[in-house]
Amino acid sequence: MSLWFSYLGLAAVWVAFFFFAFLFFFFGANKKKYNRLIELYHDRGLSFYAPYHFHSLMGFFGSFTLVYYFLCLLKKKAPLFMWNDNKEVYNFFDSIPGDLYSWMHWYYRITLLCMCSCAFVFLMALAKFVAEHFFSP
Amino acid sequence: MERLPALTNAGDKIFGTSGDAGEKYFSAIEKTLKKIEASYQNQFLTQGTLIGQQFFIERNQLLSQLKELVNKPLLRAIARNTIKFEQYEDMKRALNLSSRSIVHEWATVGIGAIPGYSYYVGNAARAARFLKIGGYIGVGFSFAGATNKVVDVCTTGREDDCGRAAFKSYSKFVSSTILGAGGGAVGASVGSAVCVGLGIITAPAAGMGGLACAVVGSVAGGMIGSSAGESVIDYFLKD
Repeated sequence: MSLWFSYLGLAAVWVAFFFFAFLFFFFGANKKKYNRLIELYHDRGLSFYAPYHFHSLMGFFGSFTLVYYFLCLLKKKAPLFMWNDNKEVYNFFDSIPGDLYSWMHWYYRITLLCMCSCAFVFLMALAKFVAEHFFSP
Repeated sequence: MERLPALTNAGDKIFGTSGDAGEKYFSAIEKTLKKIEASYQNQFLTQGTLIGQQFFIERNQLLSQLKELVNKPLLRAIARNTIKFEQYEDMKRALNLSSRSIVHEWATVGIGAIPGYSYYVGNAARAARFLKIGGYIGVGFSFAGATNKVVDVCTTGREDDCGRAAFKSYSKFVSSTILGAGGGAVGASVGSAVCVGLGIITAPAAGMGGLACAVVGSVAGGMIGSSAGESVIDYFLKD
């Protein structure tokens, strides 16, 4: 039984990797738009809050968090770790052309799938542990 | 040979964290240097001199922007040595910007680049280009570490274990890369939140302090994620 959890966990690792590799190329294809958005954000005199500031400097490795931040602003919702609420930031996307940010919706969905695969890996590890320690003869 | 895994492991942590942030930093210096040169050229083109109230205001603004960039805590020595500024506090002197010699040069041979100035711009651009690939060098180190283990098993009389070792090693590589990246992202946010909570930094952008908290959180999160990724593969393949 516990062997199946190992197989499923290992399969999820590789599925997560394919999502991650896809995100890498997807980001590469939209990198100019992403950098342009950050530039426009600064040009409007807006500043990122501490963690997002760091992610804005990290290119691909920071893109997952920053895309989440931008999508929250697009939906005019407060992102996590937003301590000092400057209402101006929620109007940022009002004057931004759609083709600069439309790619982010799919990017975010695939990031979520990648995260779910990673969570599944740990779930399988937990299931294996429980099976071995509590249900093995 | 046994030192190689330790080296590749350290390399992937160090380069993975510092690469992109460093690239943006040196690109910002390069951009400001180019803006300073453009303001000199515009002024000379429109007025024929390097004297004017508007020009002085613009130049001073750009020079203080540059000074702020190169004097950032922790980065001061790296920035000054990489771009090879002269050791003066006054940025105009550090960049060797003598209005008299620039005017003389442009009046005799025509307007162009500020003499000697391309040296500083070139150094900043080179540093940015080098660091741009830093994050990917980190992943490359990690991949090299995994390959090293596989080659070790496959060439030392344990050929029967070769396939299994390759699967295990590359599974560990992909799992530690993904979870390291995820852990780094979560760690940066948590690190900043902890610093704000403790009153070490103040929101919003929190300057270099905020960046330092995020970097520390990111390194810690990346290491935890990366180690967890490797451990979970070990756990799945322990039998």
